[in-house]
Amino acid sequence: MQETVLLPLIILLPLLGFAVLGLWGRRMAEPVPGVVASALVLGSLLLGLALLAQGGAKWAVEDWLPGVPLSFALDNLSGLMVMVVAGVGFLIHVYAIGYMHSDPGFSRFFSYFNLFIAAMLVLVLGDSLPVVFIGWEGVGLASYLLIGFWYTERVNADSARKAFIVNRIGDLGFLLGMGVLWAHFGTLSISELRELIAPEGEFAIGINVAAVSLAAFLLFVGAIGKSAQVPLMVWLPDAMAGPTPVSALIHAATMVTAGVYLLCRNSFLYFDLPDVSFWVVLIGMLTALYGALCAFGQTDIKRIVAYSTLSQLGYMFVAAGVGAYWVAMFHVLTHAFFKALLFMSSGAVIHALGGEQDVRKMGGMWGYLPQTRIHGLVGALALGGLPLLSGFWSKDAILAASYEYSALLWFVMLLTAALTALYSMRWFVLVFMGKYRGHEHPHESPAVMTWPNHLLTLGSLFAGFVGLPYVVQSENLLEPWLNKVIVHHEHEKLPVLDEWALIVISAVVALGALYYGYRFFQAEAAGKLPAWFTRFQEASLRSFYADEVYNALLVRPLKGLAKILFDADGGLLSGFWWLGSVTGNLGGLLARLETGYLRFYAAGLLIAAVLLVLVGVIR
Amino acid sequence: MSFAELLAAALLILSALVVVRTSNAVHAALALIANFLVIAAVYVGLEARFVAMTQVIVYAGAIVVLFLFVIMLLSAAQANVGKDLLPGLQIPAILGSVALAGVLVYALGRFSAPANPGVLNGGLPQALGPLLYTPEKWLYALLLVGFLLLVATIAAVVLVEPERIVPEASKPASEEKELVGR
Repeated sequence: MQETVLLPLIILLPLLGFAVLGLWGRRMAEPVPGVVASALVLGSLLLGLALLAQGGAKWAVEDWLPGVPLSFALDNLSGLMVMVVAGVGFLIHVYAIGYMHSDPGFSRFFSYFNLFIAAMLVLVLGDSLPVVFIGWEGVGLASYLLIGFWYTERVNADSARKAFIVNRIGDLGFLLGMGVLWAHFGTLSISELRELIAPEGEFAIGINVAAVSLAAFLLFVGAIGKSAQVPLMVWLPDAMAGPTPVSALIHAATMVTAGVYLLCRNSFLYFDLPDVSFWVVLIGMLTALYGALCAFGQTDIKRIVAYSTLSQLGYMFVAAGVGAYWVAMFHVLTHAFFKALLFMSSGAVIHALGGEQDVRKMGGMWGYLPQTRIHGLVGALALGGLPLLSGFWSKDAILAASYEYSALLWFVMLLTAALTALYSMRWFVLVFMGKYRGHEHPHESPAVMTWPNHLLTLGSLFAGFVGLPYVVQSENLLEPWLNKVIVHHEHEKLPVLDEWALIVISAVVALGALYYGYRFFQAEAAGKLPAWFTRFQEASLRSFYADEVYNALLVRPLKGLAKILFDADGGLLSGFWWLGSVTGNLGGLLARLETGYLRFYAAGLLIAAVLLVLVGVIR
Repeated sequence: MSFAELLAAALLILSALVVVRTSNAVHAALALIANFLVIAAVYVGLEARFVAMTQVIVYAGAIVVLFLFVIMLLSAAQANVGKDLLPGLQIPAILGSVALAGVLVYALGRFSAPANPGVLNGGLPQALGPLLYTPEKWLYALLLVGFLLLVATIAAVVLVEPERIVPEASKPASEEKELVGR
């Protein structure tokens, strides 16, 4: 690992784009801001790859804050994230040049996009928790700005606020976790913490396990907020109010995976804490199941994909929870490809239909969109876990790791995988199959939008082959590469027979569910569904009343509390005012002693004289 | 306590009561002269002869005569005219006076005279002069009293001087506004 000033340059390039486009972008003609932004992200990607090829890099300002250096590190883990963020980010930038065509906020959009990339790179490259936190907040800010990008619509502004507030709840956990670590270990540098807490691959002797558990749990709360896990998941579907490239970049491929990245980066905290890891598994499992069930009832093309993101993030948390950190990052990688592809195919469909997002008014796109149909199909199949596609391999690795943890967990995750295959087919069938149910004239997207999708399609097809299971006689490239930096348990691999059985079961389940979903949702397209399923869809459309529960349990009581506190504040003030009026009234009473009669004053003098003499004599 | 002392005390209280209680102001002033004459006699009895003479000359001869001039000039001999605006004050005043007398008597009861009082030399001016004109004693107080008398003279002149009327036109505009404000 070399010390080089080129490392912060990776971050500064998109930050420069943010500043230049934000200040002077409006003076540039239409495609220029997009080209500049994309080129800068590509520059970051190439620089990052070059540094990674030289074995990583690090850079630090030692006395940034007393005891807290501004340190960055590029190792294999952050290198993978740089590839995902800058690589997939670059493709989405290029796509957005076409998607945002003739939008009045064209340059503003790319300025925000570059800000996001810069903040995300700070997050993944930071080697000390405060630096990570800067990126953490920076991506939250960029997400807020981009969700509310079309700010003239009230619903967009509300969604942006909701996303920011829910994220802030998680961020409080992050801050408290940092506080605990600082109080107990006196440093926030991740590499130093790792030396202190787990130098030899297990907890150092005499370490305060309770403090580590607390810190790990609080950091996990931060990850829950950022990665939209149960119970802080409500913001992600609403975040679809932003433009589609935003959904693809922020709410699918990169920002929401920051929580998973945080768990993997700090795996030295979690790997020896079964209690905390159990919570990670539980939350991840619930999220996976909840997201999958919610996806069935959605009518908005992007919200279906958003709930699938929720579900896939749950998968990643399960992987991190069971200790298979490299598997979690593997799924981050494959998910970045196929989810970005799904979102951008959705964007292409929305673009083709002039802004229509309701799947009930779609259908039949297979005949209209010759290129997007392939993208959509590959994306849906990769999400559904068709064997040999990227999603299959990463999901299979998660299932194998869950099986080692507990058979029950494996069963739930397998069930969720089947549900995933079903709703991904629902998405595909409702959009591409059957007859067109709308009135627009669909047209294929321009080349600037299809080419990024071509590349993402390739990624969705083949990305899985970097992490094949050991029984397939091929080298697993990812696991040893990542395990150089991630703490991991050396353990016996599953017997060959079991591993094969898991692969076959998962393949059969995926195939069966994909086929069944393909057949079943043709009926929905035709409006012929069984009654029980329609009722289920109604509940699913409303996210199983999560928002209602939040409003009833949190939002409305808090509003009421705010009202009560405001009134109490007013009451307190009027109490002080009343106290002032008491002295005023006392003054009024005393003023009535001033009668204006000299005799009266003389009488007062007399009384005073009597009292004074009395006091003087008696004393 | 001799008969003369008792008589003097009785006369003092009696004359003082007349001063306070009589409704004719001229009678009250005359009773005050009587009071001062008795008190001068008491001073003599207490070996303060110069003070007694001064008491008669200044208080009885000058001050009360001034009082009488004022009462007679204003024809104010009859006090009980018009409405009494504080009718209820009489009883508290009596009670307060009795209380003050009570606490003073009580205080005096606890007071013991010094064992060897200074030589008084009959209280003649030959004895008082050195005290009055020695800076270590009362010289400055005497000068201060002189100043006080000067102030009193000027104040009395100013108080009785008739009001001068300033013509309106000679006032600047800014002052006029102030006057309106009042």
